[in-house]
Amino acid sequence: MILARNITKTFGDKKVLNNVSFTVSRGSITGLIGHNGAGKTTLMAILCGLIRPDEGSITIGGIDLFRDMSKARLAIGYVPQKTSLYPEMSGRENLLYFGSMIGLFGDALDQSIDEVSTATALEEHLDKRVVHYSGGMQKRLNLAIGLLGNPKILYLDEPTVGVDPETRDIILTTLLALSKERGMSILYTSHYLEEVERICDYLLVLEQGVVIVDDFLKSLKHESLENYLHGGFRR
Amino acid sequence: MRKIFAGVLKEFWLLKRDVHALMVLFVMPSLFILIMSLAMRDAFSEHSNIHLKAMILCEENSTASREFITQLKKIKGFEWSETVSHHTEALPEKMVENNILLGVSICQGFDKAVENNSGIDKKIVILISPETTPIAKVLFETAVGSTVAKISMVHQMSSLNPWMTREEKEEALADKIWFEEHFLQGKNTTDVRPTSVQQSVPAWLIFSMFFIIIPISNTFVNERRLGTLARLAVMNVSIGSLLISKMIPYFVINQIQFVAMLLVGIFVVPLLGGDALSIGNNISGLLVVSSVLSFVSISYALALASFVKTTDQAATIGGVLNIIFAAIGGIMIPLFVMPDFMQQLAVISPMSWGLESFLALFLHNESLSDIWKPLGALLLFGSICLGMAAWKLNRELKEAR
Repeated sequence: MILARNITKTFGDKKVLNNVSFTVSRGSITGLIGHNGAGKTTLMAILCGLIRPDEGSITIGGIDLFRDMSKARLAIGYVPQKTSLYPEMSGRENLLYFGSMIGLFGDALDQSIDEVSTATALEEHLDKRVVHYSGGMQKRLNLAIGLLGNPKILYLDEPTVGVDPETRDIILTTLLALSKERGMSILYTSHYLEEVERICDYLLVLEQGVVIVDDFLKSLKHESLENYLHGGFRR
Repeated sequence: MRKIFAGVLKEFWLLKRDVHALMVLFVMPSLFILIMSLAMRDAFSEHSNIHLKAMILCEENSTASREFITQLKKIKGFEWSETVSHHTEALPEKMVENNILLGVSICQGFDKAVENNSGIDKKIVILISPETTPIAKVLFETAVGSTVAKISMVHQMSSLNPWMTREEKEEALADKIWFEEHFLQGKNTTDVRPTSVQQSVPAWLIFSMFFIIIPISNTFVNERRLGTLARLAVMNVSIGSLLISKMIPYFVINQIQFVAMLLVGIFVVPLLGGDALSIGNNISGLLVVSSVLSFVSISYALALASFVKTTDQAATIGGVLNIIFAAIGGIMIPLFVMPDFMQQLAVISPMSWGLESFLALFLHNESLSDIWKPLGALLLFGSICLGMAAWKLNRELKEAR
């Protein structure tokens, strides 16, 4: 589903990504972990087409991202780390707006809003203004927007940072269901090892812009994972 | 197109919940128009705000001196007080006591001088304090001089016509020379008198249009800060359609401001005793100027909101810049009361270009071709601002790492 080949990106003198290659297959959840400054966010921005790599290529569902970006992006749902919402608008208004921005209108938009609000347990709160939502509810709405239009690929940039255990459970359960039931391919960055172990099939570890682990999670031992992470990740 | 419509709708949702911004956009200019139109009414009125205190000392009680005093008191712009003394030398003391800067003394023998039509000017003494402004001095000398001439002329007429009755003499004295007033209107003239409301309405309308910076920055800065723009970019929303969907609703708001402020000038200001706004005949020209100003104020707001980091910065920097533009651009104080160098400085303020355009249409009934320079400057400024906003936004999205 996602095929990244030899991605290299330099900012000034610093090589942020160095010859990064990986594959995310259909219906899988791939964990992307690494220390701060390892290059995760830059890689995510490149996968979204927000910045171009100096070298390398990315194919989304067989479409070259940088040759036919508009078409390739149709397959992508993106959940940024910050809650990118309009706090003064209601949850429904946020969903209506972002849904329209991905080209959903009329019944298709209403149906998609129903689906994503049910999946994120927000259906009873849609008419409240987001400014009155708890932090966890805002994170769920942030995820719901990424799910609008039922994308084939979902990028999540640390979606559970700062949320309560209940919200974290809702988010992780939702992602598992999307992957298994709808065949959605998910690329998930996180600092939490327990989350990665719970939902991911596959693991990528970035260290100073280089992929140092690229393997099925089940083939990696918990101890070796901790060693990879040098205790830098929270359990 | 549907995406742009959704963007417009979103801006309206946000705007209707931003009560403070709406107050700034509509209540503030309405109040300014009312206050400034009434405060400056006298500065533009027919009688102006000239109000000079002057003292008359009369050494003799004669028909001619009484006629002279009566005629002096008819002159507008002066407040006369009388003192009786047999000595002109007492006049300075009386003037200082009463804090009066201008004085005229009618000396003994005035009646006889008028009768003989000889040496009248020798029987009138004027006293002017050094603190008097040159304009007041000239006005005073002209008032006294013209009255002396009038008295002299009527007595000459009566000596040429011995059968002239007392009533005819009084009628001759009562005759006033009135000049028909016309006001310059471009290359033509008009009988419509310029009023304070014609300065206030366009001035404060422009000022409030530029305050669109507050609601625009409230949403735009947050969109940049929270990564919403990056999210929209991933949704294939182009920077062009993002900017257009922001410009349309605020353009509508600006046009509502335009109509509302004209209505305040036409209907509300007269209710409070001010003059009604006269908008001239070039309605389509007014709409063009208002549209160009709207384009400029929105582009300027987008540019500013693209370069600041917080909404507080946008409100502070935008507010201060607006006030500076207004102060030097003739919004707060009309340009014509400023000294020359300040009038030249006004050229750097886009608000002054807008005001110049509006006043050309309101007061001079000029056509759009007559105001192409300020309109062109506005369009150029707006285009540069919009280009800067698009460039910064594009760069920011590329740096989203």
